[in-house]
Amino acid sequence: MEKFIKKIKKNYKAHFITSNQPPASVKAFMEEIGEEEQEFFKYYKSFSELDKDLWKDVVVSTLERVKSEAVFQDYAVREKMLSFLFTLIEVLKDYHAFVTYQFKNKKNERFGLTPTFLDDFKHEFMLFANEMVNEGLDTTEIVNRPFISEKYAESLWVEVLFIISFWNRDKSENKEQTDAAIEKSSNFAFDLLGQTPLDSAFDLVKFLIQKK
Amino acid sequence: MAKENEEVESQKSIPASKVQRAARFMKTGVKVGRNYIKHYARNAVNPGTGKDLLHEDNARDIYDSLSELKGSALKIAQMMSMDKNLLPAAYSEKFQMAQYSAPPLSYPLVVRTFRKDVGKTPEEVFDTFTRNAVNAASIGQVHQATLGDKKFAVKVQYPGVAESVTSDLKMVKPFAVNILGLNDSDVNHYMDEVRTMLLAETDYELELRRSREISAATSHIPHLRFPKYYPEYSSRHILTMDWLEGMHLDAFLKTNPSQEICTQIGQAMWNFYDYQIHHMKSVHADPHPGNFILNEAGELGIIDFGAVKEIPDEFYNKYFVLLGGDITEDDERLMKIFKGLNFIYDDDSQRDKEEIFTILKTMVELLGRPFRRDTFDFGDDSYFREIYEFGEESAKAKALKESKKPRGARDGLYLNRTYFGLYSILNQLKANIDTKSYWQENTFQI
Repeated sequence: MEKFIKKIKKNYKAHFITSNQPPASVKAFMEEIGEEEQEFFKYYKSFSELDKDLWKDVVVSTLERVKSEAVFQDYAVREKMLSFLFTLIEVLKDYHAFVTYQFKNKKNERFGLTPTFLDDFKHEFMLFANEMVNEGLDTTEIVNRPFISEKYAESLWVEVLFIISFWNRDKSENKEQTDAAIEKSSNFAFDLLGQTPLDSAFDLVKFLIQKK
Repeated sequence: MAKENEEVESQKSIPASKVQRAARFMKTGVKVGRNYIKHYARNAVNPGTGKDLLHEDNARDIYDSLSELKGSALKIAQMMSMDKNLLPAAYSEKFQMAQYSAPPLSYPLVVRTFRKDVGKTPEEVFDTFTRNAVNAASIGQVHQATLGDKKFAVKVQYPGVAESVTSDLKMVKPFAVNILGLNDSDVNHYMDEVRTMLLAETDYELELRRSREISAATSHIPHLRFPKYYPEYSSRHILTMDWLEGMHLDAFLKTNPSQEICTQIGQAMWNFYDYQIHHMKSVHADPHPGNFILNEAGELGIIDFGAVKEIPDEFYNKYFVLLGGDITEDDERLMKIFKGLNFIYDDDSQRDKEEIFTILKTMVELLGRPFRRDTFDFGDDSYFREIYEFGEESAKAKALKESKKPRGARDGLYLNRTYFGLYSILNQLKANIDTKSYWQENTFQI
C-alpha cells in the first residue's frame, strides 16, 4: 500500500515535469503507469486530493529535516523559523514543476489567502507555528499582547505563503533572491513580534489616560 | 529642479542650485563613506581587549582619519583624475558596500549557503564554527572556524549581491546625470569601470585565484604575510583562509609600536604595491586599513583581494611616465601625455588648455614627489597640507569647473584610489620610505 501510494505520487509529480500539466484524467494516468483505474480511488477521491497530499509531504519532510539537525535545539525561535523556511525551499526544489502549475492555475474559490490545495500543508504547519509562538512567549522573544497574540501563528503562515510564491516567481541564479527574501521577511516578522517602540508608546498612553 | 533664471544666466556654467545639490550629494556621500569606514572598523579583532570597546575605539579612530582623508588623500584622487565624476562614482560604490553590510546573515542562512555551495553544513566541514560572525566583510561576514589545530577565517557572502550591484548601479546613474548635470557618456565612462570591479568583488572564486597569484608572486618581499586559501572549503559565496593573528592599523598604533617597526611595515607595504603595479601590472586596489593585519614583529598581513585592478599596458605607459624624474621640465612632452590621458582635448580653448595644464603640472610635481627622491618621509604633514591647499585652489579653477567633458582615463579611477589609500596609511605610520621603485628600471615610450 505504502509502496503503491509512493508510485502514484512519483509518477504524478513526474508528469508535471514532462508536460507542465496534470494528466488528462485519472483513467489516462493509471493506464500510463500500468495500474487499474479503481485502485486510485481507494486512496484519493480526485487529483485535487492527491495535490493536497503532495503538499503535506512537503511540509512533513521539511519539518523532519529541520528537527533532525543537531543545532536546531540551540536555535532561538527566529532562527528555527528561518531554518524551516530555508529547508522548505530546498525540499520544494523537487516539486518545482508541480508548484508552478498549482500557483498558475490557482482558482479564487473562496475568500482568504490560502489556496485549497494548501489546506493540509497549512494544518501541519500551524502545529509547528503554535509550538514556535509558545516557545517564543516562554523565552520572551515574542511579546504577549492582548487579542493580537492569537494571530501570531497565522502571521507566520502568511510569511510562508509569501515565501512560497516568491520562490515560485524567483528568476535569479540559484534562487538567491529567495534567500534574501527569507532573511528580510523573517527579520521583519520577528521584529514586530518582539518588543517594539509601539509597545512602549502604548504603555505610555495607557498610563497617561489612567492617571487622568 | 533648477530655477529658470539660473539656467538662463549662463549655459556654460553649472547652475548654482545644481552645485549646491551636488555639494549635498557629496555630503551624503561622505556620511555614507563614514558608515562604510565605521563598518570596516567593526572588522578589527584584538584578542587582548574587550571587543565592544575596541569597536568603539576603531570607529572613532577611523572616523578621525577619514576627516584627514578629506583634506589630503581624497583630494589626491580628485586631482589625479581632475574629474568631477570621480567622487560621486567612488562614493556610490561605498554606498553600495555600506548597504550590503548592514544586516548580518542569520546562522540558518550561513548553513543554507554552505549546503548549497559545499553540500555540507559548517559543522560537518569543521570541528568548530562560530555561530555569530566575528567580523563584518564588505559584502558578507567572517566566521572563525577550527579543524584539528588549525584556525580559519571563513567569509560568507550575502545572497544576491551580484545581482543587486548591477541593478543598483542602474539606479545611481540617472541620479548622477540629473543631480550633477553630467551627460550620459561621462557617467558611463566611470560606471562601467565601477561595475566591473564591483562584480569581481562579489566572486569569491575569482578572489581566491587572485589572492593565490598575488601572494605567490610577492612572497619574496620581506615582512609580508599572506593567509593560505582553501579551495576545498570555498565557493563563489564562501571563502576560507588561514586566520591571521594581529591587529588592524588603528589598534596597532595604540600599542605604541616603535618607529622602526612602523617604518618596516610601511616599507613592506610600499614594496608590495610597487611590485604589483610595475611588475605584475595588476594591483590590490583597496588599500583600506581593514584589509591589513599588523603584528608586533613588524609584519604586514594582507587579507581581502576582492578589488584587483588590471592595468592595461597602454594606460600604464602614459600614466607612469608622469612620475619620471625630469618630466616636469619638458612642457611639450607633458602636454602630449595629458592629451593621451584625456586630461586635455585638442578642441579645448587655448585659455582652458593653459589653465588646466598649469594645474596638472603642479599636481604631477606634488603627487610624483615621493617618486623623485630616494627616500620620502610620509610622516611629514606639511606635504599633505600642501596637497590639500592645492586641492582647494584647483577646485576653484574655472576651466575644470565648467568642463563638460570627462577628464582623465577610466583606468585611473582605481589606481588613484590605490595611491591615495597607500599614502594615507603611510602617513599614519609616519613612515620614512625608501621610494626606489621598480618602474625606474623600465623605460617609457609614448
